[in-house]
Amino acid sequence: MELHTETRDEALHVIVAEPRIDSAVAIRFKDRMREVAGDGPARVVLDLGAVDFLDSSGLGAVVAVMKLLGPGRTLELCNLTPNVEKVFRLTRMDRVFTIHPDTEAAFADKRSIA
Amino acid sequence: MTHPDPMRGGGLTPSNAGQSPADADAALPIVVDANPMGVRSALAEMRARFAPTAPGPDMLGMAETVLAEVLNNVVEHAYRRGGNGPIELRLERCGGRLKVDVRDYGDPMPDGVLPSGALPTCEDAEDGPPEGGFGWFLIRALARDLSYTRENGQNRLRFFVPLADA
Repeated sequence: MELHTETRDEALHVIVAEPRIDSAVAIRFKDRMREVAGDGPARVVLDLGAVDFLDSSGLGAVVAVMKLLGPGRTLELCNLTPNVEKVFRLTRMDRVFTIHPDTEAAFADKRSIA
Repeated sequence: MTHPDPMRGGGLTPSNAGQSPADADAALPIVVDANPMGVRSALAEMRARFAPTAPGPDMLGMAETVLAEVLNNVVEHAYRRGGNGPIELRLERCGGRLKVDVRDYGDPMPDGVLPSGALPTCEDAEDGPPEGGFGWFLIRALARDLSYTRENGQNRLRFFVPLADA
């Protein structure tokens, strides 16, 4: 499970460099996210631009990551591919997460305030 | 009467590996072991067979989502008691739809009926949004004409899924 991270505008930008988050890797994804984002900036932006496919196990893992960040920290999403976006929309998890269309939008708010 | 053993392999149907899809191959069942990597190979084979003829950006998106949930359920529930049996997948394109027939030899559906697929809500869990329970919701949202039968130790789930992008 390859994740790339960078700190950007006082947020942690996590790029998932994998084509799938499915039942074969959902637990590994959650564990790796705990490693890279277990502590750190309050705001975590998960970039799913490379992820073509996410099943219900992967969706559950993303929800679990949000919970493991704990109170006072937020998990936001950006760069959803069409199939992944549809899974979030159908399950109404698009109401639970702040979803940005792309990386620029994910970090634009902070920049305009600064 | 289908026997569980013939053609069971590590993933891809042997005669189809590395070749362009042919009409004869389309009728062959895809047989995989009931585990997460078996599910992956079944989905890859589905794409290999139908992607070249499907128009549009990704007409197999809905099919892949539904099939993944159906196959994951077989792995996690039908064969949950330590079984690692086969899953047989038969696919046929019917115009704008994919006709799907999934067979396994694990436990029957509870009470012999398909789950309702109600969407889990935040109210169901005390600690925020649900982390599971989405599988049957997605299947019911995207599949059409679902039917389930249990005969001679075989589960058989049949349905159609539109060939449409997300």
